[in-house]
Amino acid sequence: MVKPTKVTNAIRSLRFAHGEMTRAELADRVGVTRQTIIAIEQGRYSPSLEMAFQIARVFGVPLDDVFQYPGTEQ
Amino acid sequence: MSFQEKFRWVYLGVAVVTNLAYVAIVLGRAQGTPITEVSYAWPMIGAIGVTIVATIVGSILAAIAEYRAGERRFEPDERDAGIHRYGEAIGYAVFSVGILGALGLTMAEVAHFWIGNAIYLTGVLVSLISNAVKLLAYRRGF
Repeated sequence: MVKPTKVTNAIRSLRFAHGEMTRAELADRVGVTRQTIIAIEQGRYSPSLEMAFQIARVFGVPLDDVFQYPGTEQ
Repeated sequence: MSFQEKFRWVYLGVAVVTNLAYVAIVLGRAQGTPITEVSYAWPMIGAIGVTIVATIVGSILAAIAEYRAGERRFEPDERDAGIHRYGEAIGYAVFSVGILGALGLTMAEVAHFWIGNAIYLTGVLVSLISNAVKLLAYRRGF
């Protein structure tokens, strides 16, 4: 089985900070299914770089504010 | 559950029922007759045909139910496509082993019954395993 992603994200809090945006609305704006947004939020799917940028653009924030990759501090 | 995931469940359910029915029919005909002399072709064609038709009908019904529930997106997105590729890769490995087995049976010149059913079993296992892998990927992460 594919190992789960180490990428974490702040999509849930960003949705609430943006007028309690629903998962369906975010999915619609990114062009994916609601289940894919749920899988990303729960860390069950690591999106492509392109989708990651699309999500960040919806919230109007840099990519780093949406996605983090912990455990690699230098 | 997305429509793509629901479609996998529909196929798995249909395939299990039709293939169990095929096995039951063939074993039923084998009562008092050597199994290699059992007429298996029409039950096999019937199982394949019913699987295809029932999967299409089941998918249409699932799509209607999804639409009524408010879902408007039915085409696969990048996650669906990735899960599909992953499942197909596993299925290809199963196919390779199964087809080698069928080739071995052909070279050994065993009865057509065994060769035909080995190929059929390969196809069934490829579909069942690849779809089960895809459903696991949907559930556990990908």
